[in-house]
Amino acid sequence: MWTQVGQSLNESASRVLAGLASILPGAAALVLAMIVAVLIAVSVRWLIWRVLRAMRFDDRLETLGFSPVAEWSPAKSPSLLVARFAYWVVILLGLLIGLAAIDANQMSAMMGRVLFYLPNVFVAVILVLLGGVLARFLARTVLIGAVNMQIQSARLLSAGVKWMILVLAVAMALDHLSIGGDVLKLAFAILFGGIVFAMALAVGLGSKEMVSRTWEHQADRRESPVIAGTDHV
Amino acid sequence: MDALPQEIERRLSRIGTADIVIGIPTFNNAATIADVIGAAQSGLHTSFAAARSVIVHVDGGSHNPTAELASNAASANGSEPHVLQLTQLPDGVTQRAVARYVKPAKGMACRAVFEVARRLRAKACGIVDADAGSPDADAIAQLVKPIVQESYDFVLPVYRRGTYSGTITSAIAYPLTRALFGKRVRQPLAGDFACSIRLLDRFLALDPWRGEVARVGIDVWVAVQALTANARLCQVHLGDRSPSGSSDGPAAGSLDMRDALPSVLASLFASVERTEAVWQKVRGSDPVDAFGAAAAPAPEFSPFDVRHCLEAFRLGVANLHEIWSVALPPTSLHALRKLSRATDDQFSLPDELWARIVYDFALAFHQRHIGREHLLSAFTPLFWAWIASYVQQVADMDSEQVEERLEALCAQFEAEKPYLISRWRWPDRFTP
Repeated sequence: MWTQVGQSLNESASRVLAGLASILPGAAALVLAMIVAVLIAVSVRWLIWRVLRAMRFDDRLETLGFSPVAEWSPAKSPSLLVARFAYWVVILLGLLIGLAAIDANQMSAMMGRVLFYLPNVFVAVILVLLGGVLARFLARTVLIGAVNMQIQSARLLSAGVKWMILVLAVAMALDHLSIGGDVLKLAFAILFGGIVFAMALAVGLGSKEMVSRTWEHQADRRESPVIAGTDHV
Repeated sequence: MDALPQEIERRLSRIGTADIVIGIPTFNNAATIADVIGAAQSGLHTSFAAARSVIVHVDGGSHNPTAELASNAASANGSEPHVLQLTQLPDGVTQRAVARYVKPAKGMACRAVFEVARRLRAKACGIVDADAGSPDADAIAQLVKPIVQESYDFVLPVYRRGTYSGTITSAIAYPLTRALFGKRVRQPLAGDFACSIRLLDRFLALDPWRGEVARVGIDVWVAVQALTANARLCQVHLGDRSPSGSSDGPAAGSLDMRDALPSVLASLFASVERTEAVWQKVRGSDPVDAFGAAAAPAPEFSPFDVRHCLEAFRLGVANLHEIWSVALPPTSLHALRKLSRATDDQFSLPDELWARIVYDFALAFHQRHIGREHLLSAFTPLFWAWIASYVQQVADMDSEQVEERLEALCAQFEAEKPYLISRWRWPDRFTP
């Protein structure tokens, strides 16, 4: 009996070792692929960053009116944002190549699925990022504009605009990924409608005098603390 | 330089040379253009009868009959001096509404005038802003006289203004340019100026005309160039010249503060950025030569509602802390918060704090840590605070005391200049 037990153990050990031995080249290939990918990614990031800096990409973007991109970017530099994005794309490619080396059949099937789904994820991420940038930019614009027009509920208006855009962006992204289905649409409609309703109530109740004067007399300009026609410059 | 229209080229060839060129940029100035051209013709004819003078009217594409009225005014007053009309800017600059208060492409219009003056080898070239009401005929002659007769390079007018007029100039433009460039030019945003051919050649050689200067900020750009070029500067006291609205809207200076302030700040801060190598070496300030007698302004009632100004400031303190914190250090933010709790009667914005706020915003504009439009718009509540403080302080002062008050403000800007230099050079290291 002990002989059979020993034989079974030997067989299982050799099966595991054989399995490990069969994986090892793939694992080594994965490690190698990752090392190479990191090296390439670092080079690509450095190259892109230098080229964009030489092109004065940040300044050009600012001149073209894309200042919110700079505000959202790491270290306030859109060049760095592009460089880092390229870095992570190369790392991801290296990872996929390395994983494919471990089990070619399974990985190719998985990669097929991943690659098929990847554009949707990419678009969803872009949607959320753009939504974030737009939400922050518009929230700030509304806040400053409302303060300069002396609307007391400036912060509330700004927050309302921000969350409306964020909710819209996230809902669009999830819809693009086919997550949530009808539940998501319903939740979005309730949430979005709720925000609009809350803002309408806030503006209607909190600033009703201001709103009525605006409608009647374009009060935003008359509310200035200075008599119209004064020479400021 | 893009070619001038062929008709203008032909007329320039026929004219040959000139001693004085007066340029009049317009945009929807139907209400004033005839008077401005008439005043220019009359002033040149009376004061420089022996000189060869040319008036250049450049219209930026008015939507009203400004060009026709200018043409009629030119022909009504005889053939001398010559009046050249450019009804389309040389390179067809589009009217981009960068800043509502500035007429489209005044910079490009000035460039066309400079080019005409250079071709005619004029000794002096003056720019008269048709937005700023109808000038006195003698005033236009007085503007170019120091260049023609005294060999100055650059002349800025000093118009008589009320205590409460030109607050942007008094609170920011004058103290800032004086502290940075060391010359006491009282109205650097005057809109009218005159320059010599030497300076004009420099303006044209620098070629800033493709950027923002082409559309906005030419007045500041020209003044700062003159201040930084070792040019012989002077100012001429020219009496009253209050802005008068055109038929299509109010004049430049009289538009809403919320429109005017960000545009002027953008021009000023862009100049600060462009000349960083120059102003860091300047210490103190010197008066510039002045001609004419400075007349005391007539007493006027304050157009500002102090209570409303303070409300605007307090609303800013309550809501814009996050945006201000991008530009202002914690000490200034703390001081502003403390100030917002002061009662209306006790409200007083210290000059030191104000100077630092202006410097910090200039630095933030340079660093671009936040969108420039947002940064400049967020400055408005702070400016209301300065106005509230100023109005309360000068309410019972005569014009001399008001000037002394502004002199103290300018002195504080000069005293705080090392603060700006430190922050500009080491923005991360220096934490006040």
